[in-house]
Amino acid sequence: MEDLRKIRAMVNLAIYDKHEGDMDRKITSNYRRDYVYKRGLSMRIGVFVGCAIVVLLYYSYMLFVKSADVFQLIGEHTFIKIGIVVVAVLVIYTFLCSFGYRREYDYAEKRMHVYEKRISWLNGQKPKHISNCKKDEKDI
Amino acid sequence: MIELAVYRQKLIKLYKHSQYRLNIILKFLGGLAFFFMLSSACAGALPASKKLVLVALCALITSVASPMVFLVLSMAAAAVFIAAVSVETAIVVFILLFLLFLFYGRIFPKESLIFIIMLVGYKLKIPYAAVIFAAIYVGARAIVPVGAAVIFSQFEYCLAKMVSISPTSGFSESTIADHTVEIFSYLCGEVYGHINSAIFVMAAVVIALVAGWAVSSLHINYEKEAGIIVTAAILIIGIFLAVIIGGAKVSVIGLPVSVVLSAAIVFVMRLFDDLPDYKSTEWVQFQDNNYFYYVKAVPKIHAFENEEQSFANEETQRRHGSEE
Repeated sequence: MEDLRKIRAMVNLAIYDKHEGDMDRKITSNYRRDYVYKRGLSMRIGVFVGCAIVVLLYYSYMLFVKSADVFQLIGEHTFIKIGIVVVAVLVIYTFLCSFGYRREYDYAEKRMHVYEKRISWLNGQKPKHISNCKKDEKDI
Repeated sequence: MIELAVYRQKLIKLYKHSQYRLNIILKFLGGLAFFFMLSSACAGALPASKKLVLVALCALITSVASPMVFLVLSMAAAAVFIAAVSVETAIVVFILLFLLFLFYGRIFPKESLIFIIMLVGYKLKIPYAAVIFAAIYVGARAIVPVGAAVIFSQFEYCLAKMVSISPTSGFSESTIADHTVEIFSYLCGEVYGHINSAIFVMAAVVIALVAGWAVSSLHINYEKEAGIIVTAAILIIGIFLAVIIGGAKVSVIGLPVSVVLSAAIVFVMRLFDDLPDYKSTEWVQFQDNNYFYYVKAVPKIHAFENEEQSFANEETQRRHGSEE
């Protein structure tokens, strides 16, 4: 009979592999900063497109429905005003999403860390810090 | 109460017995009901056979799709069904839904499902079940979908008028831009005229949501139940105030009934929540240096049952043996 504790640990590892393992590995295959940047970039592009549609709708409404004059509508500072609003929206989104993505990465990393610890224990080794965050620390 | 707990235990056991298959079937049935409801937007303009095929196809995809895919599919399906009666209205509705998707759905796909659930709730006259559920389980992230659903429902009556502005019978590619602008201007006019009442209702619902969330995270005894009661009470008072002050169009008699029914539904759902999470049976395989292991990990809730069964069998065999 093999060691029951080892079998239990292997069952836990296999269950983790089957469920969250793939997703967590995908997340932690990036450095934390890279992951947040990649997800943030995709979010920013989406929000920027959304802002562009809203601006387009607003000016279409003013031009076609309210019959506003084009030259009065698009003045000297129009683009600056639009730019400020878009940048403000992007900053808010960046702030909120960075927080969320960092948290997501941290949770994935914690789970991976437990997984690695269990594997090390099974192999009769001392637990090593293999995760990227710790790599970052080492590099520094 | 004990009987209720026993029934709950039996139901959970039934569910856990074949969790994966049940999940897929439930998703399929839910998708079927949702897309069938959505198809009512085409008001008979689409042949029944085509409608049925579209609904079945969407439900089939829903049963295996992620929340993000489901959101995109819902948007596309809504546009297709509305386009059957008015292409221009479909364009306007699609743009609005697409904006909601860009600003919120892409970032919080799971929470965005509350928006869809709430719209379905409005059809079934129990929209507040989604609000109460979101208050005790989701929290502040649900403010946007709940608020958006309230605004959508407040201006739902515009859809019929928008369709009547440009019916498909009078559809022409040359007039598509004019009609779209006409529909857009009608919608803007309606929104501009009635936005105050809609905001009052939205504010009442959002305040109820936040209050329910705050109470349910107090770490006190019966926090979730208290959250349900607080959310329901604030919903009734807040929406009544919105009717009196803001002139919102909400059924005064139907509101308390709907809120109480919604609270009861969430309370029943809550009963299934406080048990330890018995995972379903897992079949896993792994290996070490000497062996391959094919393991069936059985949750204790099943294991005890099997033990009891085997104990009973052993007892019977022993008795038979002693009799012989």
